[in-house]
Amino acid sequence: MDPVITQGAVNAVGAANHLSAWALFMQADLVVKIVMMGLIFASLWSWAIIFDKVIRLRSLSRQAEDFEEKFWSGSSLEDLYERIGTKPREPMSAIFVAAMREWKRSAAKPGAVSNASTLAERLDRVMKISLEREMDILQRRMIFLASTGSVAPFLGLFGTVWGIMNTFTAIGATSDTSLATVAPGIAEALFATAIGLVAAIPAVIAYNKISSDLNRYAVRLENFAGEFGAILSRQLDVRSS
Amino acid sequence: MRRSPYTSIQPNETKGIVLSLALHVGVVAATYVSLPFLRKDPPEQAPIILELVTIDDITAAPPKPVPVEEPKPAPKQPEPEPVKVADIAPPQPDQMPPPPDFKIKEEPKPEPKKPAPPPQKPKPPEKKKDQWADLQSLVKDLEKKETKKQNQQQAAVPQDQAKVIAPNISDKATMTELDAIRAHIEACWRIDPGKEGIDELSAEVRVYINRDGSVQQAQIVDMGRYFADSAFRTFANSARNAVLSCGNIPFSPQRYDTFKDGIVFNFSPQGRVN
Repeated sequence: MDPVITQGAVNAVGAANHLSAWALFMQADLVVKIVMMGLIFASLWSWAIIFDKVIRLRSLSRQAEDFEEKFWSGSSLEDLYERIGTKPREPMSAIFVAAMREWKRSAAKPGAVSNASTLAERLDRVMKISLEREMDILQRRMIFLASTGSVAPFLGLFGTVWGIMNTFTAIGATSDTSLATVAPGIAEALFATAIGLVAAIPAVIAYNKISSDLNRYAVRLENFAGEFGAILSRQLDVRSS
Repeated sequence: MRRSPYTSIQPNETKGIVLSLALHVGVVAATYVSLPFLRKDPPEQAPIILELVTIDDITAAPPKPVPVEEPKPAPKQPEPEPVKVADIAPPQPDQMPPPPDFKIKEEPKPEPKKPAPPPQKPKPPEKKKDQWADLQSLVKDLEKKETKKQNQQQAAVPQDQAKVIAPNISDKATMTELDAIRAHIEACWRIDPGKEGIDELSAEVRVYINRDGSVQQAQIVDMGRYFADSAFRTFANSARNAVLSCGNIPFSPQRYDTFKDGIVFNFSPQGRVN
């Protein structure tokens, strides 16, 4: 038996006495440390995404209400368009602006209005593209939550298996099977799984909640786009007749 | 990122990162400051009986290379002799020091319960006998007879020690780990009992041990007095040398954690030198 290894194992076991989180981290193997740091980063980042999405969705639904109120207030759509200009603050007004711009361009060209059906088609397409682009931006990074939720437990499990392997190696090196030798290594190994679960559980819950909220918001935008498209095509019919 | 001019303005995303960081730091801080579950001290271990020893075993336990001496009628009249300079005074045949007082304090955590917390050994023999008499008069008589005989026959240390320990373990004849360690180190301690004012001295030595029981380090606790007071220095050196020269300390490896942060031995001849 290699005396150096034995001595190292004995020292490691001897030091493995304080089971605070920091001590568990510090006395872990390099691989386990990397796993733990990755998991901590995943937890940090997924919570950043969660906070960001929740705050954003809340303010978006408030802004959408404001916009719908203005939109249905009966004031001129031209005025609304002027007020928003080219800097829409939120997806619903972005859809509105995209449709209005297309409408005004078509209206500015003499004779363009003659083909009302193609204009209505164009308007629908523009609004659909705008909606998809907005939803794409909103759904960005959701994939990280999904992957964290599914991968983090496995990553933690990997750290645990690695740590337990080390523990058994230490047992083999010292031929000491007392609980004091085995327990710290196992505690340290299980710590990796604990961090993995800590990262994964909020990520899964938040992913489910946020994606359903996003779906609801997307439906709301689609409904608005449909209604606005209907209004515009009615306007086209009035104008062409 | 290039984007179509008609997409909505995206608010910046640092807020989420800052909030997330704050949450994690808060959770970690909470676990360290208030939540007890990660800081819990290791569960207290019930005292482990190191050895099952009979009185005879203990009597034989400290195998000290004591020069066997002839019984003296009155060995307890130490005149204050000229002070010796040597740190460790070899025991003089006439004035063989009776086993000194040992109190072992465990720094990290005192044992919650001990089957038989050994009462202060250092009490003078007469007093002990009185206590003993209160408990069992019959046994006392026997004991007294025995010890008297022993006293008269030899004043050698092991017997004396046995007499001191005997009352603690007479019931069950078990010995806790601390007692074993105490007896072990007691056997190695040499002091000059004739030294002036030695019964006023007591020194605490903190001992760090390795897993195999060998002594890693022995520190004298009161270093200020160690440098200031030469009598204390001599005394403390003798105590430290006792620990260092004593070889491996007997303890069970499972209990290493208990002793890892150092054991404090209190060396004090008080009450034994008269």
